Amino acid sequence: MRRRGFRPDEERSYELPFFLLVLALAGAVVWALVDESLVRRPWKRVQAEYAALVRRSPPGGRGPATATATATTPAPAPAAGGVVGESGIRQLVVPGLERNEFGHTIDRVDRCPTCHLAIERGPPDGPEVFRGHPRRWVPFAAGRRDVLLGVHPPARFGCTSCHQGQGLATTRAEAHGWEVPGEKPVAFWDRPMLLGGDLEASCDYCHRSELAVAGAPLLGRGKQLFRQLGCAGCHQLTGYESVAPIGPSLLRIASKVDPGWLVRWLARGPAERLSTRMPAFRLDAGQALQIAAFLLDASEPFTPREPVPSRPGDPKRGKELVAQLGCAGCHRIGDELASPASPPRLRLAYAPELAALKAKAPGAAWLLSWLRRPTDYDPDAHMPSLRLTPPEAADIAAYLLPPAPPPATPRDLRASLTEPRTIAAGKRLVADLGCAGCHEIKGLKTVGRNGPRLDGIAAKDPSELDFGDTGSASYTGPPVKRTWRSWIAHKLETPGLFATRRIQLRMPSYQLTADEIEALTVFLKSLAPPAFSETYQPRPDELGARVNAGEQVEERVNCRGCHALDGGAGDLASRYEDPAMGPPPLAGEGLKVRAEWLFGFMKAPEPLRPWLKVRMPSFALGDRDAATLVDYAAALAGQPVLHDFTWPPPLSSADRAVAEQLFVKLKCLRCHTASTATGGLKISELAPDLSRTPARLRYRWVLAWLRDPQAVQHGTRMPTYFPLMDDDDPKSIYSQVPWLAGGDPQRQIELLAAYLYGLPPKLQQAPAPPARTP
Amino acid sequence: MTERERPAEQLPRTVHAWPYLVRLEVLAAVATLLAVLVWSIVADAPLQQAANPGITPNPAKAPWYFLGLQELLVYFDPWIAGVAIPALILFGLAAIPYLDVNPRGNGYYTLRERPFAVSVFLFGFSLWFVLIAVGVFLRGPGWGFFPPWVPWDPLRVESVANVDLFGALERRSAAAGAVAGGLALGAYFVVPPLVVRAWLRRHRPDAIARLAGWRYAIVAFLLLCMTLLPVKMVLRWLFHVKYVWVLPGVFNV
Repeated sequence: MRRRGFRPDEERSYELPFFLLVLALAGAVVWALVDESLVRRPWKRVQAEYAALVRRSPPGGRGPATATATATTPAPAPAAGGVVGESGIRQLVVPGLERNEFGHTIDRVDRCPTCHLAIERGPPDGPEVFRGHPRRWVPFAAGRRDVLLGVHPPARFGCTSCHQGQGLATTRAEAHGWEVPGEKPVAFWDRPMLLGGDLEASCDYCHRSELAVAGAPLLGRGKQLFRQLGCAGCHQLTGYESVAPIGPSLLRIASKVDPGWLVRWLARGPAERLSTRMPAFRLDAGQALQIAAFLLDASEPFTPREPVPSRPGDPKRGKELVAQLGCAGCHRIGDELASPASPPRLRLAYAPELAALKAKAPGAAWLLSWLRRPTDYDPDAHMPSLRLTPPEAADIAAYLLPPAPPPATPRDLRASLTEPRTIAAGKRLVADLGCAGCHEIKGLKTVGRNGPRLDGIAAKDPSELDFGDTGSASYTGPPVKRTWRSWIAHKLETPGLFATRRIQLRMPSYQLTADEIEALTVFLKSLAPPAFSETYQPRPDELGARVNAGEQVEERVNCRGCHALDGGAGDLASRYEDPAMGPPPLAGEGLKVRAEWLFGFMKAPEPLRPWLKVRMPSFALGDRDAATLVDYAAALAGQPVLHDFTWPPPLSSADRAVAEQLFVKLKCLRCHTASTATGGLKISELAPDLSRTPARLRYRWVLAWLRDPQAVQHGTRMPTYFPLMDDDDPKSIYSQVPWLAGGDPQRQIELLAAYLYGLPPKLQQAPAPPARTP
Repeated sequence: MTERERPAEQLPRTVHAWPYLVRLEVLAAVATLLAVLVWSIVADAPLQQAANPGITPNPAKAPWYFLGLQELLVYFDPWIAGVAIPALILFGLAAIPYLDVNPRGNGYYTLRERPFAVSVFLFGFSLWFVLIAVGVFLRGPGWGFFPPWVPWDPLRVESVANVDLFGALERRSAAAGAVAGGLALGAYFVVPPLVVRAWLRRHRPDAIARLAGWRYAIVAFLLLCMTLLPVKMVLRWLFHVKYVWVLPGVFNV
C-alpha cells in the first residue's frame, strides 16, 4: 500500500519551514512599522529639516531668522496648532466649508502647515517649502486689508479653498494633487493645486457675480473677453443667459450692403480684418454665397425716411465734423493696421472702422437715415443719434461715402443669389453655424445656442475631451499634450484642430493672442465651482452689484469710449491736448449730480457746455437702462443712497445781499457764462451755466467744490477761493473777502452755495431744446 | 458493501488531528498572514474619487467578489451570465448530495478515492477565482484587457471585430445560421456524454452501474455547462468568436 519515498506524518518535522515563515513574518512586521512611521510620513523628515534650519541660523539674521524667533519664544501657530520643533501634524479645520455631492455640509481639513511650517512668518527666499506666503498672514497691511489674506484669513478659510489640492494628504504629490506639476495629476483627485495664473480661477468660485474681481486681473480679462467675443451666443453658461447678442441686426441687411461685398466678407473678411468682432468661419466661396443668398432673401425691406438733401454734401466739412463731434470715441478711421499685438480696444473695436464703409457700398439714402436716426433701421442699434442737422448729415455722408456709381452686381452672382436651392442651403448653414447667436436674423430668433454648455467644463478629465486626430501617427502639427489646459489652449487658438473626418467642428476662429487665450483659459478653469456653503460666501455687496449692472449697460453704450469714468482716462478724452475741450471726466459724477437730473440727461442730453465741439449723443435708452446708468454713477462714486435730499437753508434777505456781494466779488459769472460769448476768455476757460445748479447739482457736492475744487477734480480750472492756510488743519480756511459774513470762510461758502440755489430766474436759460431734433 | 462493512486493512491510513493536522494549519495561517501583511504594505486600498452621483467611473467595477460574475458578461449575454449560470451553480451545488453517491471520503481526507469529484470541484473553484482575478487586475476602462504593464488610458481605442461562429452562414440566412448554431451546441451537449458513456461501459462498468442513467445525464449536463465557459474563452481569445448560436432578437449563446 505504501508508495516509495512516503514518510508518514508522524515522522515528519516542520521545524525549518516554521522557523523561516515566522522569521519572514517578523521581518514583515518590522517593515510595516518602518513603512507606516517613516516612509508614509515624509513630513517628519521635513519637520526635522526645519528644526535643524532654525537651530543653525543665527538669531536676528536673515533667512529663517524669523522662524528662530518663534523657536526661542515658542509661539503656537494661531490656527494650525503645535509648537515649532515639536513633531506632529498641523492642520487648519474649516468647519462646514462645503456641501458634498449629497448636499451634506462637510468640514475641510488642510494639513498644509505640517510641511509649510514658516508659511506665516517665513522669509520670501530659501527652500520653497519653508518660505513665507508671499502675501503673509498680515490682516492689515499699510492700513488696507490685503484682498487675499487680509480678507480671507487662512485661519478661517484654510488653504485649499483657494489653492485647491488635497488638504488631508501628507505626502508631496498627493497633497498638491500633481505627480508632475502641470502635467500629470494624481489619480482620483479632481482638484489638483491650481498653478500660476490658474489660481485666479478659484476667486470666481465665490465671486461669480463680479465682473472684475480685485486681485484677479486674468480672470477679469477672461470674463470681459467672454462677453465681448460673444461666446454666450453659442455656449450656454449659468449667469450668461440674457447676454445681449454682440453682432448687428441682419433683419434688413439687403438695404444696407452690396451683395458682392457680403459674399466676399463672409468668405474672407473676418480673417483679414482683426479689428472686427466677427470670428472667422472656415467657409469656402460656395458656402459664403449660400449664406449671403439666404440673408438677402430673409431681409425685410427698409425705406429710408430721410429726404435726400437738395445740396450735395461737402466732404471737407464732413471730415471736420467727424473729427469734432467725437465719432472716434467708438469708431476708428483708417486704422486697418490692427494686429494681434494691438491694444485690446483696437483689436476688438466697439464699432466698425469707418474707412471700410465704402466697400460695403450702402446707398446714400441709407447712410443719411443711419446718421440721423439709427433706430429707424435697427431699433436696437448701438449707434446713438448725434442730433445732426440734415446738412451736417449730408456733409458726413459725402465724406464717408464719396459719390461713386453703385457697384454693379454681376448678373450671374445675382442669379445664383436668388436661386431657391442656394437659399435653402444657406438657411441650413446659418442655423448650423449659429449665426443667430450674435445676429438678429429673420425666422431664427431662438436658434443660436448650438455650442456645448460650458458649466463644469473645468472638471472635465482629459479622457472626456476629444483630441481628434492629434494623437494619431499621421498627425503632423505641433504636439498636443493630453491635459485639460493644453486642450483648451489649442481649441481656443485653432478651433478646428480636433476635427476629424467624421466629426466636423463649428467653432470659428477668433484669432486670439496668447494673452487672451491665457485669460480665457483661467476663466474657463473657474467653471466648476465647489459647493461652498453660504457661511463662506461673500456678503452681498449692494454697491458692487449696482456697479456690475451698470458695467453691462456701459459696455453696450460705451461711455468709456469718450469719458473717464473711474480714475483712468476715457479713450476719446485722452486724445485731446487740452482736456477741457474733450468729453468731461465723470469720476465722482454720482456724488456731483442729482439722480433725477442725470436720468433726464441720459434720456435726452442738453448741451451743458455749448462751446464744446464734441457732442454728447442721444442714446436710445429705455427707462430701465437709463436708471441703471444713474445707479451705476452713484455706485461707482461709492454713494449708497441714490437720491440727495439735502438743500441749502432759505436765505434771509440780509444773507442774500451778503451772498450776492460774494458772488460778484469772486467774479463767478466771468467763466460760468450762459452764452458762447467768451468775453475775452479762452474758450477752454468757460464753465457751465450756474442757473442749472438747483436741478443738477447735489448741495453737499457744491459745498465741497467751493471749498477745494482740486480735491474734487484734480486739474480743474476752477480757482480755489478758500485755500487752507495750514495743510494739516482743515479749519484754517483762508478767505479773500474777510470783510463779508463776519470773516467766517465756512459761512461764506454756505452762503454762496445757498445763493446759487436761489439764483434769480432772469439768469436762468430758456429750457434746453429737446434732444431729438424733429 | 457499505463503509462500515469495509475491513480495517482496506481503510486508508489515518493520523491524529492534533498535532499532525493542526501544525500544518498553523503553518498555513502564518503563510497567509505573511502574504496579507506584505500585500497591505505594497498595495494601497483601491479607493477612488469621493462618490459623486453625477459621474459614472470608467471602468465601473462591482465589488471584487462579484467581479467573476461581471467578467462572465464578456463571454455570455446578461441573461445567461447574470441569471442562468448563477442559478445553475446554486442548483448544482445543492444537487451534489444526490449526485455524488461515492461513500469514500466520509470523515477523512482522500484524493485517491475521489479523483473525479475533487478535481471537478477544484477546477470550478479555481475557474471562479481566475475570473475574479482577471476582473480585478486586468480589466481597465471600457472593460478592455490591460496587461499589468499597460497604463489604463481611457483614450486607448482597441477595435476588435468579434464575429459569430457561423457568421458567414448568418449573413446569408439567419435561419440557417440559427440551425447550424443549434446543432453545434446540441452536439456539444450530447456527443461527449455518449462517447464517455461508451468508454465507461467498456472500462469501468462498476462506475457506470453506480451512476443511474438520469444521474449520469445531470452530472454530464452540469459539467458541460461549466466547461462551456473555458470553451467560449478559448473561442473568444483565439478566434474572436462572439456567439455560437444566434437566435436573432431572442437568445444568443
